[in-house]
Amino acid sequence: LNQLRWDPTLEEWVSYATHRQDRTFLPPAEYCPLCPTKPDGFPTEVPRESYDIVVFENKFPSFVPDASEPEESGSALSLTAPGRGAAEVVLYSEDHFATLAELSEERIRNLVEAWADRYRELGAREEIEYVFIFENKGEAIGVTLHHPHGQIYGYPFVPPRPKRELEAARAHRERRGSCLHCDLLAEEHADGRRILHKGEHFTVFVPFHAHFPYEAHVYARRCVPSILALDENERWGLARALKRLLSGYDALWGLSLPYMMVMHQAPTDGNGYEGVAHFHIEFYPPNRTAEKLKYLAGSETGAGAFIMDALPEKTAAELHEAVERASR
Amino acid sequence: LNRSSDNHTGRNEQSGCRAFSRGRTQAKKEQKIKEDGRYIIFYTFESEGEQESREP
Repeated sequence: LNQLRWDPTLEEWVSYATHRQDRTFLPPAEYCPLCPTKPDGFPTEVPRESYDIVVFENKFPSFVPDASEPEESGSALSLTAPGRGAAEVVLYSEDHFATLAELSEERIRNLVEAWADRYRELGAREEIEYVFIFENKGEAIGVTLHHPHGQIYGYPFVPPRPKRELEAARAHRERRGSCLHCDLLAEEHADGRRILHKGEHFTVFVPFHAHFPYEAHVYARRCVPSILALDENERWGLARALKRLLSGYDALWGLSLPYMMVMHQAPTDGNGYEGVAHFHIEFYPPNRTAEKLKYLAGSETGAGAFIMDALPEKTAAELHEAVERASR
Repeated sequence: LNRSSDNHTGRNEQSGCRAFSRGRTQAKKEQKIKEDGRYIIFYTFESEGEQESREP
């Protein structure tokens, strides 16, 4: 069952995919479904003995291309719709124990190429209005498989958070005639205290308004609407920026830091987003210390108001030191 | 995106193999259909040893 239900109080869709309750949960490494299929071994999701990067349709999808009309018809206020779209799994490496942080810059560059191809291909599908590329890393985030992988959702709507961000960017452009993200990036460059990496094509920084203690944003320095618009040098620049940040994350406390990684870029709903959407990647590690997590509790979940324990300038200084240390 | 002019390879495309990038990172893209009807895409890249020197 793939079904959408409209929440009229928040004016947003909620997706239901009940078959996901049965998905594989933290299997031992020898039974990993994302490893290559070994000769005489059990058949995994990948019917080959080796691979570089693989993308496949999720066995337990949140969205499917051919979702049927919901049996539950809803009401004038409480609408329903088929959960049409895409749910893909992206395997970063055949090495079960690798992480994105441990991949070489060249391999991350290859991944950028695959991401761009998926954005192009999924975005061209009529039912998909937003291509959302993301990774949940670590059990603290709730991953069910440890093999290094990310996911892509093709939503049949522009999801609430990117939508709100785009509305803010459009309003900013109407007021000031410039790109909100370009202006924010200029402010971060001018201030300098929260910058973690400043490359020719990408800048990594802890935002002034971080919602997580070690949140970091990876911004294209040129105003491009999507990953697809990045040229060859910019794609290398993105790989380098990701490698630097992720190495720094792991060096911070000497552990493989969990995080959520999300890409924000132009919707693929056919509307114009030039100068409004600005390609960037956001990272939200859940840790506030090596041992303690920040939970999204009453205020964050019920009120939508984040309460932070640490100032971004302090965490940025720690992260910057870790990024530099990891780069030596 | 201009959907009407974009090629796309969803569930209905035949399995196939083609180069999909003409930059410095040469790649091969191969799409297959699994027994249960789901697609799987293999991206294979030619290693460019010179790029390893770009590591910080």
